[in-house]
Amino acid sequence: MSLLREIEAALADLARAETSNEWLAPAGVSFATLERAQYFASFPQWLTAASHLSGNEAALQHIAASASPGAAARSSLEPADVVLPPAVCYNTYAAHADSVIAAPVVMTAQGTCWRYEGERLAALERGWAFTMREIVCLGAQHDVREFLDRSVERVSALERVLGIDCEMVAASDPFFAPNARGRAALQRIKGLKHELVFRFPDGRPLAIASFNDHELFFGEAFAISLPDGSPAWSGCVAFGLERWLMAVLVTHGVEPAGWPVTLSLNAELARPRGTDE
Amino acid sequence: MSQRAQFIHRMVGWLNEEVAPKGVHVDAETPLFSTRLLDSLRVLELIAFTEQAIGLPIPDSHIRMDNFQTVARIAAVFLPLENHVVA
Repeated sequence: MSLLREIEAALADLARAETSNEWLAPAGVSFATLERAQYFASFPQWLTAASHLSGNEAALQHIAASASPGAAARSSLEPADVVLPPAVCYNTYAAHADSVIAAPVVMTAQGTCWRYEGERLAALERGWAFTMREIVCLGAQHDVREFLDRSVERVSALERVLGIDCEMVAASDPFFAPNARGRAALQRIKGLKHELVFRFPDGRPLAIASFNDHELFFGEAFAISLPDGSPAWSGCVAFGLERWLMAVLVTHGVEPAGWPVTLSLNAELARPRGTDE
Repeated sequence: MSQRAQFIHRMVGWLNEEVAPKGVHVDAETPLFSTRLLDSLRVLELIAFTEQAIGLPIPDSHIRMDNFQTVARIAAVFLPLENHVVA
């Protein structure tokens, strides 16, 4: 647990080097927000929603008196009102919806995210619930491109501090069929998504961070505009904390004595490579 | 006309007739992805067009910007020496 907290702190420091605009990630996201983000045509396979019991006293008494109250409650749930966030960033776009941003906006947040992946679920590697730190940038194209470039440098520095060996690879999202291949191909050709990939000793890949250039997608979907009236560009960098934990444990072992001397962010991380005096 | 030249001619023709909006002309050196010329459906057609021309499926690892920047580049990568694919 202390190691996870150290990693959490290191990623928070890395985010703070980019922005002091830290948000508290909401525990849920509305169906309307995901609809606006065209989520249901992209990744509906992951959706996990929150339901509740009705306030009907008779129904609650029936559940309480049942021999199997858990099963009784499960069969009495109301339709879901809210989605458990599949990513932190959707709420940040919704918060800027239908507005003009006068200057680039960079914000960060950490939250629990939920993606149901059935038989692919695996502890630490692919949890149904997992912890995500995101840094999101809204602005002009060059703002987002520069933000992503800086982020690659900062994350590479963190990788070095933690002593984990990773590679940066072009990637695409696992879009929902039927147009999955086309969307993934477009993403690959345009170089819109890169992942920092750790490899297990057997060569199996584990993406521990992703760098995403959304172009105008969310700016248009959420009507977020620049002062000249054009839609904002957006990009985000996302970290799966449990995956970073896995990478450190696989590299350095489970004994604290073998871990890097300090996992806290040092001065090297506060600035991208190449800016040393 | 070489196979590569034929490919360029046919693909440029297809892009101008079927894909490009009115008033937009595409040639062999037009950047295909710096504008919204190709959406996710059209990019699949572009890949299928190329696969049909070379008679081989293109693996996902070869679907990247440096191979698909322009029609001329696609031809150079996938039809380098007539039928030899080296991408």
